[in-house]
Amino acid sequence: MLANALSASVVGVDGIPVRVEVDVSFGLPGLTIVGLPGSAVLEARERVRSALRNSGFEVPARRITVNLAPADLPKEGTGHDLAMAAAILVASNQLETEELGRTALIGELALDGSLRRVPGAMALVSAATAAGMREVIVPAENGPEGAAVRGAIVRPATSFGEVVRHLAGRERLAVLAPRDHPTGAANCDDAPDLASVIGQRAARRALEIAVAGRHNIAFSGPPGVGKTLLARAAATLLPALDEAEAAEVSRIHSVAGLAEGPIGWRRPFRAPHHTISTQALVGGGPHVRPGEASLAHHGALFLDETLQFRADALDALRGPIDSGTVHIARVDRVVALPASFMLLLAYNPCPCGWWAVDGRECSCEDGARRRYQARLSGPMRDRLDLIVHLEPVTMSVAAEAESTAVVAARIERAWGRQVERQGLPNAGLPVAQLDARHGFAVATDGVLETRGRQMGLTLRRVHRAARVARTIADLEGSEMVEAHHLDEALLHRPKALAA
Amino acid sequence: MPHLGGDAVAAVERLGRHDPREIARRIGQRTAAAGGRVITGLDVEYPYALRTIDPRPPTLYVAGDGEALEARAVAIVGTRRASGYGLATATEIADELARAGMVVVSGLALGIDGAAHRAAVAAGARTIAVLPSPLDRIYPPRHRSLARDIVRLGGALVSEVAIGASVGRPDFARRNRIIAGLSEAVVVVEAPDRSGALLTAAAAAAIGRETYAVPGPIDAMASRGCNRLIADHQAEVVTSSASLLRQIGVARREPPPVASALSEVEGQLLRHLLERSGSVEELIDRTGQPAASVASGLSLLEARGLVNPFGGATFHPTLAAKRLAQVV
Repeated sequence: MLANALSASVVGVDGIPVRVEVDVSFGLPGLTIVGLPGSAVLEARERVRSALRNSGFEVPARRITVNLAPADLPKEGTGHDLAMAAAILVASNQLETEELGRTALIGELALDGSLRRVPGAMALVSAATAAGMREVIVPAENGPEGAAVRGAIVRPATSFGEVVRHLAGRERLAVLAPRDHPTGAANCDDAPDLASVIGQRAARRALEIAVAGRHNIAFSGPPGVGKTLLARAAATLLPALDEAEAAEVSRIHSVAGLAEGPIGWRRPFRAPHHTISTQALVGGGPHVRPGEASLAHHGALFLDETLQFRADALDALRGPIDSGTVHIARVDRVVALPASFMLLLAYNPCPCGWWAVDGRECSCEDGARRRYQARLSGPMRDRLDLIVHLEPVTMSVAAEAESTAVVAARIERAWGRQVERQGLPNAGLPVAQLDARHGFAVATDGVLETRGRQMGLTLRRVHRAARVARTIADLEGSEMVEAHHLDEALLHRPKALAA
Repeated sequence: MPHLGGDAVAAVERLGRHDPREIARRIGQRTAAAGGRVITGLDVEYPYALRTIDPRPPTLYVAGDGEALEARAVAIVGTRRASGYGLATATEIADELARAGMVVVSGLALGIDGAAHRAAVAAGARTIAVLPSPLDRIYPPRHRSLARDIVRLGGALVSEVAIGASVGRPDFARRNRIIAGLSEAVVVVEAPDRSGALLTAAAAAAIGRETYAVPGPIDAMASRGCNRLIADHQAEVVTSSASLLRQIGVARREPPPVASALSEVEGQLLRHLLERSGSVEELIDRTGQPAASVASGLSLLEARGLVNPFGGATFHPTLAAKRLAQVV
């Protein structure tokens, strides 16, 4: 007899509905899975067999064929176990139910029949809902993630037995109330307060500007001047996510298995270690998993000790910085992973750290220093909006620094102005929109052109400076971008390396 | 003549390759291909100033205008690892000399040399770069475009190394005597102990050229060589670019007028910087102005060429700023 159930698979950060078809027929007893199953899917045979037996059901001594449709899409993971087991029961007449036509089943089975969590529950639930399923049963641990999908009725379950009783209409599973979006691993709980940064007012100001407009910023300076502290403080300066953004972020984090609990509306702040591989940074691998760049989507990516990263890993970020998307090409398809983030860099200007610091000697060999500096390639340097050179602070500097709360409030207001005016951060303003409607008067353009000529800037640099100036005007609450906004924006422009 | 086999023919051809005239012809060709020409000690174009130095370079490879080699010239030399102070000073002195009509001679190295050439180029003046390498291999590569600008503005690139010859450490030291030879005075702007610039100073002293050194803070490693030159009476101390010009015996030209007036904050920033160079951080303290106005003010001053951070956090006033201050 034939039966089928609906499950879903993750491709990149999106869910694809997968129909699990089961046929039980006469023949040599055995369980065959077809439809390009990966090794974890193939091993479902053993899990499903044991789970059925240990939940008090029989594994029919017949020929059982399981097909995962669409049959040409490679399937990975363990999320199809539950749908297979349920369809086998129906196909072998051990369970009679109409529910499988309107309820999707997602979950991994343990040998004793209990349900285990699967990664990407949000993407899977959205896919099932989009495929016309009104309800989705998920492992209890995935409940909060699933319930965060708008319009889905999610019923968490802890064991296969519970699911069967629900499907048979004997004991209904409870519906989980819709939740806020869980975003995992924002890892900003240890973010320092800005009040703990002594001095460095020029750098603080630049950080405020960068976060307010989501511009890419780099801190360069000798060890111990507060580069890392400043960059980490950005984690709590970022304004809250909006509804649509939160859904997207949660889905990516859920695919990566990071959505541990409902952390809320915080923007992700990712700070990978410098030993990270290119694949881990931008995504990839045999089953295309999102990398740190995607996990930082709608948030910030902080590369501490930037020049210690592999040069190819850094250069791989050029694409996402420009387009906000990582494209991973495979023989049979191209997977697009969203990766629109604000970039924060912190590095020493040379191996010893004291190059171009006034009154100090750099002890590096010229060749070693140049090789080190060349790791931040010209194209990467060109994609930065602000480079701030920090110097050691003298102890006499008055320690009345503004706290994160004060600065965050200003950033929030500037952010609000951008969203109201153009619906996206200033960093993303297309060149065509650097016009009068966005506060660029003819006089401003003239100033910009003059400065570009005086300072020998490329057009790309001029446009980047214009966007930063727009943010400075927003921080000031000014409708128009004035000459002094442009001047401030240009102070920290990336320049050619000191000769 | 006995019968020659194929091998013998090849051997004779190989011998031909070692024929001096053939070698000279090839070098001439390759030099011309690199945009230069060969000047030997027998040619009338051989610079008069170099006839006195020892050992005299038998052959010079010159790209650009050979006339520049006969003009009044002053060498500006110093460390590759220059501080902001050194770069600012080299820029100022080169700018003054260039405007006074002198040719600035240096070695096209990173740091002080580069700053001196660049300032002369910015003033639209002629400058001579004496290379340690052949004309077709500009060293350091980062200064290739600077070398092009030097030739474009009527200056010259000079080398005593033939195209195709290998370059070693001694070539760097040997060219110092050419730098000194081409100049009537040598100014050492910033040099630590055992700097190549000190060799140039010694070479200058040996052939009777005037030697000047710019003093630095006594705790600055980068200035130790300069300070020692002064202490040992091997060089005259440079107290200002104006006094240097007087000592060399050239007249200062009137500076071009500075475009427009400065705002109150910009004027205040400039006054503080003329007193002592400083970073944005320090200037916030010294002026009492908010970070935003200090940042925009400094940026404007930089755009107008009145201050320069030389790739670091500390801003230095430029020659133009000093001139402006005397006008104000």
